[in-house]
Amino acid sequence: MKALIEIKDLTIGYHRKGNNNVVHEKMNGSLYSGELTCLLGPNGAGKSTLLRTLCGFQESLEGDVYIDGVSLKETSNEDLAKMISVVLTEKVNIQNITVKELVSYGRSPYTGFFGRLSEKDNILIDEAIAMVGISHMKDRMVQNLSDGERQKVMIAKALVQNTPVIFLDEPAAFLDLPSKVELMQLLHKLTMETNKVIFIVTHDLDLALQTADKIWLLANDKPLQIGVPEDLIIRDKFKGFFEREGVYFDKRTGLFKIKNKHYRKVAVSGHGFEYTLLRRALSRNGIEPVHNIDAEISIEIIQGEETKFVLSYKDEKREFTYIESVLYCLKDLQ
Amino acid sequence: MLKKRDVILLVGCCIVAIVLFVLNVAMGSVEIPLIKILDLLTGTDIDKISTNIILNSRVPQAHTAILAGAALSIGGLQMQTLFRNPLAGPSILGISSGASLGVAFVILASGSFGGMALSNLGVFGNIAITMAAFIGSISVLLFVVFLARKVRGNATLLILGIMVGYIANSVVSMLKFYSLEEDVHAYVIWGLGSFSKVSSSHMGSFSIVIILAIISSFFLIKTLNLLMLGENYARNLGVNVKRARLFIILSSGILTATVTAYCGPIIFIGLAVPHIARLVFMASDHRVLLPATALIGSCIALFCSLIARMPGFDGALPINSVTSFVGAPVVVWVLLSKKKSEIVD
Repeated sequence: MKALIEIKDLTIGYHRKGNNNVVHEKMNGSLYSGELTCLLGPNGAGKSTLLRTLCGFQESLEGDVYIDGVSLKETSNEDLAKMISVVLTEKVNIQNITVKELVSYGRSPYTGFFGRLSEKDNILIDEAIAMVGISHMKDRMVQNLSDGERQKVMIAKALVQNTPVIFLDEPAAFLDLPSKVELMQLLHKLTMETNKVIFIVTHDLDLALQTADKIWLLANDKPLQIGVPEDLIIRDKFKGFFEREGVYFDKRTGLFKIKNKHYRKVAVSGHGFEYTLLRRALSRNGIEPVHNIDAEISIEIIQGEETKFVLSYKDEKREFTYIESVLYCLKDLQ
Repeated sequence: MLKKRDVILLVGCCIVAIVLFVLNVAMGSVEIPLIKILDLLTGTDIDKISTNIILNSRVPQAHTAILAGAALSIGGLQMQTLFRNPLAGPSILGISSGASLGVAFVILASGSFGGMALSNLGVFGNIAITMAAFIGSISVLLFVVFLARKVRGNATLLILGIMVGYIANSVVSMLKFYSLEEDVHAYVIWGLGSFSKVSSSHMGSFSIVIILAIISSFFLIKTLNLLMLGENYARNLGVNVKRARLFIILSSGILTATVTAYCGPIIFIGLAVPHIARLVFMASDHRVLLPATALIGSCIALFCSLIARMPGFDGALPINSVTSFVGAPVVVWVLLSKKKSEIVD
């Protein structure tokens, strides 16, 4: 497979008088058409600097970015506008602009001197608006849209720019969880339908692991890691990138989990969904759930029409219907 | 592109401008009946005094108001879009302060240090003042353009421009402090602005410069539209942001410098008219906003000029006292008369 975007020995950072401020050096990697790639990494690793360099907003210190084999340094602004489109974190704040008008500015690399739209431009604009699913609001004013809807407008703008590559900088940053999931699904769908390179800088690790075709992992003082999410999980690549005090990477689920400190032990027996939830609640409260029957306190889950939690302490037994009551009881027994 | 509603509104603005122009010619402290004006237009001879008043005073004054109002409003719109700041106006980069400095040097310094009060020199003095204002504002403009090539961020440039303005103003106040009273008075009068200082002989050059500058501002429409999205989006859409910034500053600067040189520092119009245009046309597209701003600017300037020369006011009120006094309530009214849902900050 031929890479559409290639970076070779890329060193990114900022020019300073005297010495350069290097953010990350000697990076190598490729982006392929029809693949959704997510760039992950802790804060301060240089994700945004890398994206700015890839977009041509700032120059690389060393090495180069190649688009379809042509060096970024040798590509003019006008040509680049037809190769790469972007969705940025900065909020577009314009009064009195309709969704359709804003999307139409994506056509400007192709329009003439006064930005007049042709019939073909209008068709493309309507298509892009339909693709992101906001046709019903194309005449609404952008200032009255929610953050999630605005992001879709900006994605439609990137689509009408008709570029083989779309870069998105934290597109889900301001969104609530359902909108985040919806947005990632939309991007996944677009990648498959349009066969574009879609490259997303994101903080949402679990969403990225579920939707991305490839992951780029960037951290300070570590070489750039690239791979299919599952391969990276198998090789334990995430461990070193995000783990710190109180957080660990659960290979089994592919999720980061909070490491709770346990002060006591309680025997738990039972099965099913309630069992998992009870264990989670106990663990959060500093109580380690164990299988061992010798523990001073034991809890048995009895499933019936209504699930009951039976707590035994010495010779006493008590029944509860809510986990909340179980937790309060355990606190009293301390 | 232009919607039907926009076209109707633009035509409406043209009609209002024509009506205001006629009123400006017809009304003034000396009463001239409309019939006489019509006679003059059709070529019939009327008395010398009326001809003189109309052709050498009222028509040039209305003519100046139309051009100055349009020029300042376009300059203000360009600055507001470039800096994405609703409080920006055509003089935000210190260009009119530069003009003030030039004029202060000529009026104040020549009196105190040269031993002759320029304020007494009449016509020659007027030319000198125009020249000084032009040189002052163009110097500041060139300095700001030089800075614009050096600094990256727009916010930095905006602050630098404002600082240049402060420096110019402080030099002006020093000059004022050491000057003769009558010179300071002459300087203050200049600072109040006037549409009546462009004499018939200068009308040609004034008109040509302003009209050319307004026409060339239309070539920046697409750039302005894209800059609204923010610098990075604009760059990604193929705009050479640094060059665009330079052209916009030059265009706005030449419009402002020329008007300030001939009319003095006219305040308020350049700041307020773009807002009125946005509210009336409910648009953000500069293909609509630019002509709308120019036309509304002309209308407001004509209206202010009319108020300033209302019968009963002996002579003419200074134009700056009228622009704010008339313009500010207009803006407040337009803002308040909009439905709440339409005003989103």
